[in-house]
Amino acid sequence: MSEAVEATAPKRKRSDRLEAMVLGTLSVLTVWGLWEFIGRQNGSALSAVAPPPTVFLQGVSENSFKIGLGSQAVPVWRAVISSVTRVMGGMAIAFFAAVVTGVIMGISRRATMLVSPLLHLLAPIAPIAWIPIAIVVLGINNLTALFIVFMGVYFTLTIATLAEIDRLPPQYQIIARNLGASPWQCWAFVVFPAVLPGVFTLLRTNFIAAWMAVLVAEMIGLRDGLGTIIMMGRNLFNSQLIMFGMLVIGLCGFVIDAILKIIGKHVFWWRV
Amino acid sequence: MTEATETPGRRPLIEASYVTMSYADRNGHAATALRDIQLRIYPGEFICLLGPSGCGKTTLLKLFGGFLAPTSGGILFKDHELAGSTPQIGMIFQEPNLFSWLTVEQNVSFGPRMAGRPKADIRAEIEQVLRTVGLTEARNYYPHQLSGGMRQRAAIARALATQPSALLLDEPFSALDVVLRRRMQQFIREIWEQKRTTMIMVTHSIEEALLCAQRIIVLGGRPSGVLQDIDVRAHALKDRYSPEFAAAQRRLEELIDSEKSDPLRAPDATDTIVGQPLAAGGI
Repeated sequence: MSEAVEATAPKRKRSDRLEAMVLGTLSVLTVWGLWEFIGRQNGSALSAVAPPPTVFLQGVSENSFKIGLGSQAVPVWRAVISSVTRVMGGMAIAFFAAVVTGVIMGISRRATMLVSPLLHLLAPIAPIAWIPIAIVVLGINNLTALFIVFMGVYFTLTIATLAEIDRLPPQYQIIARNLGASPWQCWAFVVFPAVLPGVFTLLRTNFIAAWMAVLVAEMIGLRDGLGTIIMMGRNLFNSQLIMFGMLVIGLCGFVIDAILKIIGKHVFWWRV
Repeated sequence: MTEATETPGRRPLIEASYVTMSYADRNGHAATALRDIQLRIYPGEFICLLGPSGCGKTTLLKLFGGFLAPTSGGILFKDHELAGSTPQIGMIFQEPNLFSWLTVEQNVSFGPRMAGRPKADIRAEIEQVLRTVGLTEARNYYPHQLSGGMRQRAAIARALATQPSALLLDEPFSALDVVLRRRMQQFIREIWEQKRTTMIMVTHSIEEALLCAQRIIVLGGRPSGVLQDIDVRAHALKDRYSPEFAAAQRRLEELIDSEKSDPLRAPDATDTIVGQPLAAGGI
């Protein structure tokens, strides 16, 4: 079976990854160090507006990482879970809805003609613009958050699905039909799986937009989540809380993106 | 080399009668790629279609497979008008086009699964087909883990799994290197000897045609027609170093060379035809 083994250079890959990690950590540490150095100078404006991590982390830890006042204070992990569930839930729904819409549009030319102007009209509307309407119609709850994430991702992904379908080599469908697949089977068992990885890659690129939409929704309307931390810090003139909120938002985004990357690599690994 | 002779009493598997294929060229003028093709293909034959590029070999193959409908004339398959692609006539392209998210085994079982055949049935069939193409060990591999030759073998296995009466091969080995190509020629020949599935292969290599085929059909002319229909069953022609082989190769070369199409001629007939009507037909 030696024929089957593709020539790879795992050693080279591993050293590349190590180098990336070392350099990446180095750059983060350098920025952090500079920030601490400047922020800890006496009378530095920076320490008032953007206190360095050691300062704000200590400040927040005095409150045992609880956000809010008195009995209403909730631990920070509750905010993390709210925001992360919202963005992941909204993206999952949008992903499958978009692929299904795309495939249906791919099957029926009439459906494409009917739906595609709507898609292109709705796609450019920023998800944030839906917040006022969503709050009125759906109320201040998780449904609003899911809706906003959905609106932020769905249209772009549907358009992406259509592009992926267009990109498929026509032979795939010819072969599937030749092997006896009905038109329906052809779409369900060939076109649908064939476009999944490409659309998922776009989902990952669109994650930042969805993440921001959730945070803004939390800042404007919702009563919990990471966005609220920032708004609370603003209302209390507590720059430590603001910086802490920003750090957690950044970390969460980083981790989610890494998770999406892993999903892309291990679940939707194939290329057409 | 002798002219292929009709065997009386045998029913042709595929029959082309007065098949003409026209297409609209870039300027919208009707151009004829194939004119009045008359051919009978008998069960169990191994046929190679040869001819200069642009002579409509691939177009004819697609007509035989029901992927294109002739402008006039008809294609009969088992005495019935061929109405579109059918699993009974399998198609192999130059690219294996394996479904990359499925293992070799899942790829091969695709056709039987679509037909809704019972699971035990499918398993037995797949077992046998995988053994035939020598991919039993690689059954759980994904296409990207296979070499080029193995991929093409898997594609052939996938087509064989639907138990087709005929297999159409459109330059199936031209993307492979010379050594591999030789091996694949031998491989397809062995498959044919074992299964006696009717094979129709388009190739631009005279050597490949002589090595594999029982019968070579040379296309050429403007518009293209059948120039020669040659019986190449002679045993000496399967030995590439025999003088007979060299002589036959030279004769075919000269025949095709004399027909070489004008390189300045505007659109390539096959290129134009391959995509368009298929896409419009929504296959």
